Amino acid sequence: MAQEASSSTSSKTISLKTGDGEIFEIEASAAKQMKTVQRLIDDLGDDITIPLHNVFSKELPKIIEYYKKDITGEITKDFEAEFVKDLNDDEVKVLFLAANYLDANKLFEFLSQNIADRLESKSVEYVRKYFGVENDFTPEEESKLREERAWSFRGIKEDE
Amino acid sequence: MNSLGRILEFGYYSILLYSIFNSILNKEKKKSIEEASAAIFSDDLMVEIVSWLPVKYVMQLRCVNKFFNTLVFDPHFIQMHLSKSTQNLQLSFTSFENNSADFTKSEDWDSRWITLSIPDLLLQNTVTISHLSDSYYRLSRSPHYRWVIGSCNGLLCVYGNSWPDQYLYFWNPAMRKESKRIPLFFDIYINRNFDFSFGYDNSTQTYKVVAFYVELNSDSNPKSVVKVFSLGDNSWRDVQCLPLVPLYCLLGINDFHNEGMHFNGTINWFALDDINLDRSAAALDRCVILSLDLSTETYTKLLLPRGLDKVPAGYPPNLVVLMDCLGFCHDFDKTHFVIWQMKDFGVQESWLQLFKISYENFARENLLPLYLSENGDTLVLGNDRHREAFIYNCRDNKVEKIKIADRTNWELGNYYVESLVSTD
Repeated sequence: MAQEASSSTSSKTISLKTGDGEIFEIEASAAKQMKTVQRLIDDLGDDITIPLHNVFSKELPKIIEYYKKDITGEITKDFEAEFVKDLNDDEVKVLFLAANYLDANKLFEFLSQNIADRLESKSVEYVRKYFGVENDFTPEEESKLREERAWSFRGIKEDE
Repeated sequence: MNSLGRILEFGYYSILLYSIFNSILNKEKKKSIEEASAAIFSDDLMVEIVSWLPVKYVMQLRCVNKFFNTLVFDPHFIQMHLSKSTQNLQLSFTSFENNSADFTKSEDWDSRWITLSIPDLLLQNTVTISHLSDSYYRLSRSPHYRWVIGSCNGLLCVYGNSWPDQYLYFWNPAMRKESKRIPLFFDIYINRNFDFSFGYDNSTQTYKVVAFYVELNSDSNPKSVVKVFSLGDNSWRDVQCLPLVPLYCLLGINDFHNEGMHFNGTINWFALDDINLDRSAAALDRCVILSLDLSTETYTKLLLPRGLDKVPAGYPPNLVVLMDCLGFCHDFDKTHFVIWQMKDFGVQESWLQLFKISYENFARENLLPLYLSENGDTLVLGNDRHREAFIYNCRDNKVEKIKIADRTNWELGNYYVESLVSTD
């Protein structure tokens, strides 16, 4: 008799509710990889829908997709390349911040590297906007610094 | 009918207005969601991302704001960046080009510091050489003669000679920063049996250069003068004399591979076990490894494996660091080369013979192992006298030649990783 995976804890699913009210299911073993989720499960029990106030329905499915692959040991360089291929810089930023909130280490590290790769070819102005930081140099200070480090700017692409 | 119509009209417009308001509210809600999602990066998160960048880009981002400008001096960030940078291990070489027809005049050689990416070589089978055409990385240019003594955590130590000055200095090529010159305490053209070694003392977190020269007198015991310069100091410090004479001083070989080998806070040299031993009796089984601990600045003798083949000093043995262990390689019978690894530093029983490989595979002798992959499968080797480098696959015994640099001679160097380590 063909048997389905038994209802042991390994195939138990956890319900996650996003900040905008949508509910997604995730395997308990995948939930373990997200330390924030695991902590909430430890506090609230695994029968309750876990509320994730700072993660939204746009990004959670993508994160779940990543960890689905992770628990079957199928994360390869090719998979990771595909995973981010169609995401723009802002979409990756949202995922990265969500991974940070969820304390999902593997995804966090992968996305850090990916963002670093994307920023390599960007200008200083773009990075300021991306990180949301202010330029606290005076124009004179900034031009002096740029002059001193002119060698590091050789080969930079124009701002997109 | 009229009042019903009015009620309906009223109802219709209410619903219309209500749905307009609702959609505005939803937009606001959505906007605040987007704002929440587009939350500003905390300092920690920005630092995490930037720590993955190659040094050149970190330097560019110093123009972002004052926080980023001073980040490169933060010891925690430097360490964070270094630990990620070590994944991009490189081999450094010195490439030479001759500017005249006379190959024997060393003053006419231009030399440049170049690097080869190991991940590119092993994972993508490509030879990526950096800095070959960038004049910033020039070392020697007549009449200034320079060579790289050693490399440690992205910092290089360089010997320089602009007659009559002889000096050392520290150089971080990725940051394009050089330290001030440190005058040498002897003349390498007079005290010709000398050595420079560069390493890192974990206990005090200091970079140190060890320099010595040996006076070999036929009628009395060899005498050595050994001094250490710590980065941040202003002068050389005396340390204990060498208790044994390094093999290369005895044999009069001044090959740059035979410098002290830095490993995990120690500097190591081959030495004959008996200070009085006749140099003609110099054979591998009479050797030990003389090890200087950079934190205590004292010496220990490390024994070589038992039962070592009686290897004459034809091709002197070379110390190597492979797979994070100290080891050495030596020639066997001019037919093979053998690589040993000391799995536990200082423990004689932990010596393991890793390889005994026939030269036949390479049609070249006197090969120096440069890198061994973590899984032990792939060995990178070089012979700079003949300008040849190879990748050897240990499993299927396959050899592939690698071209380092066209038309020029090159000399083997050390491991190198980019870093933000300061030169002062």
